[in-house]
Amino acid sequence: MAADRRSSWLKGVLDLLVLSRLTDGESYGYEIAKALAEAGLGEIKGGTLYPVLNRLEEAGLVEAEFRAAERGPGRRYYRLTALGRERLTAESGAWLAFHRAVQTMLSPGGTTP
Amino acid sequence: MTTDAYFAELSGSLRAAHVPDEQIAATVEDLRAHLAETGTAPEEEFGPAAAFAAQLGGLAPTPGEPDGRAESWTWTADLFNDRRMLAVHGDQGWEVESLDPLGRFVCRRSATAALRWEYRREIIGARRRTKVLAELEPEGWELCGEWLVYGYFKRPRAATAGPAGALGARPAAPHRRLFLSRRGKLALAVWAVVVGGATAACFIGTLGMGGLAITIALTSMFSALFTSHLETAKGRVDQDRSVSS
Repeated sequence: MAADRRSSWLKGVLDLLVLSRLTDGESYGYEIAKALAEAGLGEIKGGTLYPVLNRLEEAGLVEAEFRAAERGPGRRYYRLTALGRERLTAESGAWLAFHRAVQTMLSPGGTTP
Repeated sequence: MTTDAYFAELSGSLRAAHVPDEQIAATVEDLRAHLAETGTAPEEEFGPAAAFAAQLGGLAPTPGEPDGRAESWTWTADLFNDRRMLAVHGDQGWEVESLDPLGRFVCRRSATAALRWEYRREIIGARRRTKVLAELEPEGWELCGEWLVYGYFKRPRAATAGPAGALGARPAAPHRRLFLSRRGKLALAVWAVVVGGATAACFIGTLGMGGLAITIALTSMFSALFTSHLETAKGRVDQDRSVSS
């Protein structure tokens, strides 16, 4: 049940987490998934991550560039666009406001600790 | 399935979705690079190839994505009819996004999506929930709504039918919103007669408001029990038939 809930929570915020991972510079799918796992968000399967990256690209929030590698298969690198940065700021604010409201409701006595 | 067979199927499905060859080649290479680092099998990492292609190739509408051109339609059916009607409407490209508090299927059909949907209903009581989800999610089923003890799951038909799961004709959204079976109509008629009688009795003073409320509650409860009993019995018969065949 707990894992089921976490997966639902993640679904609502995964696009923002992916955008936030790109604020420091470009990255690629596996590196993004690894960073999210290291941040304690659990394992994000490629089957979940790549459709999100595709949608962000289609929406113009990230730009992708495929680069061939000298050894092994090439990779698609993603970079945040100005629109993506703008969207991230706005939506992060909305998420944090929602998070504070949940925290207030769930804290003992209904007040923020 | 081998990695090469997986990517062959993925490429075929993306091609069927009119994704340019150059983009398919780059996608496959990128995904192979991903697998080289995770060390996992493609199906384990990305799910069934055709369903994954549907999500990557823009065939599948995005849950929650704002799409001004998407059609929306809300409808309901009784427990005897829901699976049949879900199959009919799923074939016409309607994707169930959720069940609203009244138990109605809230659907959308993207203007750009060209995908048929299949559905299944399972009993997901507290104890069965984890087991059912663990069994169905690896097969590409996604829980799209819950009503009482029933969980409704959806999956793009492309997950099993490949490119044949794409939507052909696009019939207009039905005007009807209620699809009752004969048994559903009968249960509703009995409910209406009993509740109507109790309301009339309340008006002429032979039944108090408390009595009316209790009658409505009991009738609703027995009606729900009756329909779910019939449906459970039918489910057992269907199950026995499928086991014996």
